[in-house]
Amino acid sequence: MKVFKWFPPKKNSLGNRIFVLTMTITLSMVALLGFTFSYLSTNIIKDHLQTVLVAIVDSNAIEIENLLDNALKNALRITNDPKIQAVLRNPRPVSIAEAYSLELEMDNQLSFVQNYVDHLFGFYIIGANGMQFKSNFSSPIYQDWKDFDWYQRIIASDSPVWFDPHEGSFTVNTIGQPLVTMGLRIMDKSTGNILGALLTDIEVSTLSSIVRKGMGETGHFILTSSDKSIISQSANETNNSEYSFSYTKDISLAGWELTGYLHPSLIENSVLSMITPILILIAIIAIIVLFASSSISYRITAQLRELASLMEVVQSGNFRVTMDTSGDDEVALLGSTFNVMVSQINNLLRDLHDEHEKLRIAEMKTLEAQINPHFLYNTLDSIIWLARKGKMDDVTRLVYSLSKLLRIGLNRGRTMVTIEEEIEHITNYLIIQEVRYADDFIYEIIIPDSILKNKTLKLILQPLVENAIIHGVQQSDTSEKITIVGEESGTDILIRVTNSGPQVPQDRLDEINLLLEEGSESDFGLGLRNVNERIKLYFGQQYGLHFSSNSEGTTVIVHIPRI
Amino acid sequence: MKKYITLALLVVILFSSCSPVKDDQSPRTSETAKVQVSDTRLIVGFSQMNHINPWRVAETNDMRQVAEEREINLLVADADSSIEKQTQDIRDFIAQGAQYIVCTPFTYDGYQEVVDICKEAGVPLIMLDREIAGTGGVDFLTFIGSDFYQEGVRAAKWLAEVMGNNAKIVELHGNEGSSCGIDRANGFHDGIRTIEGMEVVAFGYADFERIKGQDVMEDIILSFGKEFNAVYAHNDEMAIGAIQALKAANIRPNTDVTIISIDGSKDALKSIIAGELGATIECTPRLAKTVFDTIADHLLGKEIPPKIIIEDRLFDSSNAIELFDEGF
Repeated sequence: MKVFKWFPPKKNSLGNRIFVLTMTITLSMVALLGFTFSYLSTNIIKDHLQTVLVAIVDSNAIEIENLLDNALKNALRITNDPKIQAVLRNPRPVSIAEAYSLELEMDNQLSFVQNYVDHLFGFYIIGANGMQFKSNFSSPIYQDWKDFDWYQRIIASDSPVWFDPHEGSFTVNTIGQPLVTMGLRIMDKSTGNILGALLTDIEVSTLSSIVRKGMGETGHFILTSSDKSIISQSANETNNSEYSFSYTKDISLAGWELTGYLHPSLIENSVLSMITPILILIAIIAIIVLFASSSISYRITAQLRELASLMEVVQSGNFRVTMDTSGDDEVALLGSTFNVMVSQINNLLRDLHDEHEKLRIAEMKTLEAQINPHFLYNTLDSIIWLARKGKMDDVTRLVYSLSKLLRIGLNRGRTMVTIEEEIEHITNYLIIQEVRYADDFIYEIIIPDSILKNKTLKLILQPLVENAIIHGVQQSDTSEKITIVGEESGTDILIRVTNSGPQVPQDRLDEINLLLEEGSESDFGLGLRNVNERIKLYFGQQYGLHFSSNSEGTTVIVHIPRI
Repeated sequence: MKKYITLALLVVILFSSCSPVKDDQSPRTSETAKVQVSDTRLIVGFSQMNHINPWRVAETNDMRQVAEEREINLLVADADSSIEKQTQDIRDFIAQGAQYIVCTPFTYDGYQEVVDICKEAGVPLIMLDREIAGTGGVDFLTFIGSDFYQEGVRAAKWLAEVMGNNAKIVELHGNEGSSCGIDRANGFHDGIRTIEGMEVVAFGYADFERIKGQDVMEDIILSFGKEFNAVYAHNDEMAIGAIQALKAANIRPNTDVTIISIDGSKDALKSIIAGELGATIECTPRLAKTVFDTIADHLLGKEIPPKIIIEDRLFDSSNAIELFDEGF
């Protein structure tokens, strides 16, 4: 494997996009899963906690109710006890000794009842006859209780009276712990007279220990009395508005209510403890996906990136690269196509280069042909000869034509000239040759005005005319005629150069035309071949020279585009 | 940096785990929070071993009452009969700035840690009503309370006088191993040793409780018959319970059987007035005056004796009505 790159390097690279795409899809799936799971588990936990809260409140309320019920039953048992009824029905013994003895005895009786009742702090009897009993060790407070509010309330009610928490007992010395008290009046079963009141003390701490059972810190329980004052609560805070769920159970015996509040944080904590492992799992999956998609995208795009870097090399001008295409996937196909493309471009460039080279050579040859030393010598010889003969007009014409000929030929190195300029050039050439060959030939140039301003390669007519003179004029004894005719042919221009010399045999003509068509090397006239080659290189293979011949003469047709 | 974060987390955890403990404290100690906010008054921590009998209830109420009169901030904690809780309560007092600690020890041994805590914090420790292993003035400031041994001796002396040096005695102990019980027994036994006709014929443990006193006495009557004519109970509650058992068995208290106990509660005085209990040796729970006087002396730099013994009275039919309100 290649060197692993942690992260695709370019932001917009294909690898990066694949990476981001796979990451996005996977993570959103995982996130969706996580959200669904946490949503469902939150609901389940919420329901569960609510059910648990309800169960705990019910259970605790029942326990409190049982405690109160037990207290009440025993209180009723005491109030209906025949001996107690008798002691309270009779007046208090006059003798203090007797009274105290009786009180201590009754104390003992109550102690025994209390001994079999759990969770009670004490029973006390306040007799209307002034006697006072207690079930526990507490030291009694001796006072006339009949005018006290709590006493009046108890004897006025035919049902148990529940007193809210108060510090210390009503009738005995305590250390001041909070107590709730149930008061029950004692009726004489035989006369219906009120014999006194029975007080039952229950320590609030006993109730609190029941109230606190269950839930823990985030659930909150409050025991309230019938007037909604708080008897006991599981926490000191009283702000219940921030609790998300509450459930109240009546403790009908005393008219109390036990309410449980569910704190949202309990749900949150439970949910958290449940989904934390899931979240960790999601995080692990995310990391695995991060690595995996990074690795996958890197591997998928490795060949593409190789291709891209090879393309950069090609772009910089180096066509000698090939890609290793050792796969059978799309990228390998792309690679082999790339290789083909590069090699084709390479070939094209080589061809182009070759053509340029050929053109350069052809132009050099054209220039060489134009300032052919042989031609120059002949011309200058003709001038000398004419000067000796004193034909000064002819000398002047010749020198003038020669100078113009050379000027156009030089023509500041331009390749293209107008047809008009080319015609002017060939005219000057013909003038010179006409003087040279005396009156061996005549010439005629017919060019329509419409094509005079069209462009052509320079010096394409001179070799043709030269050829016409060599093959037409020199090989004939009679006076010959050279005709140059230009015409439009659709989008092209045809210029015909005709000499009236002897007919060329047809097989020779076909051979020449084939050679011109193929542009191949041969011993065929260098000048003509050069012209043909230049036209084809400049304008395309469909253009060039074409020979035809009949008894009237031989014609070379120059075929160029009209530009 | 990491260290600080860890530290902060630790602190948070500690506090969060501490708070429910505070909530759990019984409502009895909630008042400690109240006095905490008040001014620069003297702060005294009072660690009461429990409140399961009227004597201790009276003792705590007396401490409160006198502290209020003298404008002293009294922190009170109920140790629920646990030395561990008592040790923790005393730690809490010191943390709350208590300048003196008053402690009623549950047992004779097991208070070295309390002694060390107070010594380390430089807070004087006063042992109240029961002694511990150690020396007053060295391990703790002083012991304030009654002389339990003398109580036993006085009970023996009274019984010998009333019974004419001739008694078959049932002895009711409290719980085994309590220092006051041991002293009350030893004092009594030493008191009767020299007297020929005085002997303990039966004994039982009744945990200083009335109902148990009755139970134990019932058992003794059942197994022993009426072969005794005196009862020595280590506290009033057991004596009162025993009297109910005697009455139920048709044994007339004060006539067939003479009963003496120790403490001097209201119920005991009632019983004396009712003609049932012969006498009770006072062992007053009202020690607060002496406690705060001692603290005042100590603050003034006076020398504090290693033991301060309270002068106790004896209640019998001659003074019970007159001194009824002196009972607790």
